[in-house]
Amino acid sequence: MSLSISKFKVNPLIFIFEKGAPHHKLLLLKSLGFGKTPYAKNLIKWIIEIQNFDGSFPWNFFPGEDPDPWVVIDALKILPSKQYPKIVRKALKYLKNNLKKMDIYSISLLLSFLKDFNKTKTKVYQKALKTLEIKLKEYNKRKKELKLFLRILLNHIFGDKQFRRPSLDEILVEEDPWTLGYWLLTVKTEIDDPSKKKIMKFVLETEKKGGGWRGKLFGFSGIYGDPITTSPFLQGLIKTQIINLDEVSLETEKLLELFSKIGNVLNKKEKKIEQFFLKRMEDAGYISDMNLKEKLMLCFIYSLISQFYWAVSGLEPWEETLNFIEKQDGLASFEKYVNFNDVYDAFKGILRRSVPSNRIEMAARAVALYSSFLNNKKFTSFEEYAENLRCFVIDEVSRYAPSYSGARNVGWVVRSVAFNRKELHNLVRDVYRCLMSFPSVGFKTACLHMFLSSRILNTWSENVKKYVYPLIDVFSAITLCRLNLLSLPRVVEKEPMKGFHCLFWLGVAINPRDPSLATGLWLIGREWCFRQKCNKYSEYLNEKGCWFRDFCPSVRRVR
Amino acid sequence: MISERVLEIRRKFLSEELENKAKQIKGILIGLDNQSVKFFKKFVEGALKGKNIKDILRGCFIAALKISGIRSMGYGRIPFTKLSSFLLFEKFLNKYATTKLFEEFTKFTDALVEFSLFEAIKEIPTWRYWFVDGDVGMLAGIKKRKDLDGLFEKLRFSLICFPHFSPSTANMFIYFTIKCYKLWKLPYKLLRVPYFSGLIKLAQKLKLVKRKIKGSHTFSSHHYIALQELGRIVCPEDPTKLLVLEFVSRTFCKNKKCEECKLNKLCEL
Repeated sequence: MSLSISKFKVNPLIFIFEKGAPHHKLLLLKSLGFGKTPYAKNLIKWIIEIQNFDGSFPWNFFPGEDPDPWVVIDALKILPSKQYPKIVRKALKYLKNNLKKMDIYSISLLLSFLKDFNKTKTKVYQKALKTLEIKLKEYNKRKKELKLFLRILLNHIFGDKQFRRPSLDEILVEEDPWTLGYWLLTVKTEIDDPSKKKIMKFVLETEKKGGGWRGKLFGFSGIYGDPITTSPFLQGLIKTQIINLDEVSLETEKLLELFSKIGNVLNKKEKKIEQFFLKRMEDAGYISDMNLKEKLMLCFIYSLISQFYWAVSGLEPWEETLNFIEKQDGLASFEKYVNFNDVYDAFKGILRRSVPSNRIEMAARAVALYSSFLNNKKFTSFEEYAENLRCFVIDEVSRYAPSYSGARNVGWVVRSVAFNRKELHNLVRDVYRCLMSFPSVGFKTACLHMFLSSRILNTWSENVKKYVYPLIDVFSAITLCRLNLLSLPRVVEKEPMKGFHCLFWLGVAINPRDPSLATGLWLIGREWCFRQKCNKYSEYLNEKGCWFRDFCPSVRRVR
Repeated sequence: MISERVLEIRRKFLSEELENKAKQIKGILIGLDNQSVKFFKKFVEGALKGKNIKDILRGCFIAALKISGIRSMGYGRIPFTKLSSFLLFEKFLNKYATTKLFEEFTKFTDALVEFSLFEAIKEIPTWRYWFVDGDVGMLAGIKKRKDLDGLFEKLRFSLICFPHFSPSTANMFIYFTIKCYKLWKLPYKLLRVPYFSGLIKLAQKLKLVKRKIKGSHTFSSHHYIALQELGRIVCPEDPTKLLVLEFVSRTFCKNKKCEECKLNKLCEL
């Protein structure tokens, strides 16, 4: 007696692969026996390299996020201590030093993990146990009732004598898939058929429209589930075989095969992708002996003009960039770019009249500010560039942070400076945030600037490439849709940013040392998917037919 | 010049008859303002340990935390002196050994801005920082302003960088220091109204607002702007006179002494 995937609104595996962070995917793959596939290995490679100096990991293993103990505990579940002794030791040390700051749930999760892996004699376990006992005493003093989730974990740690395990009916009354997930994961005896039926009914009733499930603890509602809830819930369903295991394994295998095919093609076409962008940069005025600051300035102007592709006078952005630069007498001297009025006039010359003057003003202000930064600050390495840019943004750009979202980016840069974060992934993320604090620069523009400067013009060292984002806009979103990798394709087509994490983690799974390779999807979207012509000859790439047409699930459906 | 956004918020939250109503209650508010100041001053007096400027600032800080509902945030049994916000403020006071710095509003504000931006925000947990990130960014943007309006803004935004501070707590602290203790002689028109549920309930009874205004996490929230607009329209020369409503709510409404209340003729109940 098991639940078929076809009964779900959205395939939950697609949801996890789209929305989930690496640990969600890895724990799921591990529970299905796919823990040693190239996909899983690549994600593990990524996790290892993103560890902070203090042993913590950024939230969801995404570069530049704040560290979090929950993620560290999940990392420990994924990384075998024999294979990665140094990393595990550092992570345990971090947890040991931060026990006081951790809440009762995190401590219980840590203890439960250590118990599962027979590490009850370690110092961390003993210290965590003491801290937990103190916290439980506080709970008793306040006469606060323990939540069901906590009772499940405490029963798992201390046994039935000290804490009674909640019954299935109690859990179902709570209506929380997250709690039920942990209940299923810690179940010791086989579940009888009537109980299975109840769970199945609950599974189908609580599934979200956009796939996945949402837990009560997080208190959110929305069309999508949340991976933090969905991952343990799905693992629990797999462990107890409530969901049809054969079907899930087959679906996972198909997905992994698709990812591997995408990876193979993109790795093969890496040079072509690079050449496409390099050629555009050359059209925009790039020459190989440009110095560092000139390269950065060129990329900045190019990215800024690209966002006005709908409003330039009919030419492509690279041609307009060249026009713009020529009006300013080239890139050799930044003086003309520092002058706001000159830049404003140059922008007005290339943009249509329909562009509102405040948009032009903002774009001109951005160029003036960035050139003033390049003019006044000295740097040779990426680290110096990032640190200087952070200070410049806090001191100068913040005054012009145009909207509340601009100010939010400045806020995060300030936090990073306050904590004095110097890990490379933090610095790269800070550069993105700094760029987005400039007037008229959004996420897409910042992505394009970093991609062109770091990945195509090789301005910085190889290490920086690891954290450069792939390009995301409607082109990449449409390719993801055609590959059936999205649970709600129409939503992403309208708001491509919602597909960013899917694209980024796909890039990591293809090549953990260069996730921006997933920009290939952008190129495919631009040349083939957007116009739905899989066999069209691409002039820019000099290729006939889409690179993915041999395995793309949508290729036959396209007219 | 009022922006379109503010006009829209006014239309959404404030009553159409507000200007007429404001004329009716303004006199009463002015009459009761002194009593209200004394009433709120008592909250600080309970926390005062000495009479020098540092003690007063410390007292105002604790009173602001106490009065703006920190108990309801789940910090129930933790003493105020053990809250990270208070420890941070204590650190700030101790960092500047001489009290001279605190005697000048400009110097005090600048020192607090620097401390908030690079020290206090480290104590804010990530989940909470998502609410205040924009305000921190705004603070970085205005940190070089020297005009009086800018200084007030800076002080307000820097206080929100303390872990348990909301816009309401920040405004209450400023109210205590400037209006109750007159630490610095500054125009009251630059003060802002702290949020109190009693104040809003009474404003609803007096038909000053159309719909309920809620407490807010950030200075850019619609609810926050609506409350400030209410204060500005009722009493532009000192918006904090609106706190009289909270004073009335605590002393008369709560104890059902409607007959003694001066607002009883205007009140819906």
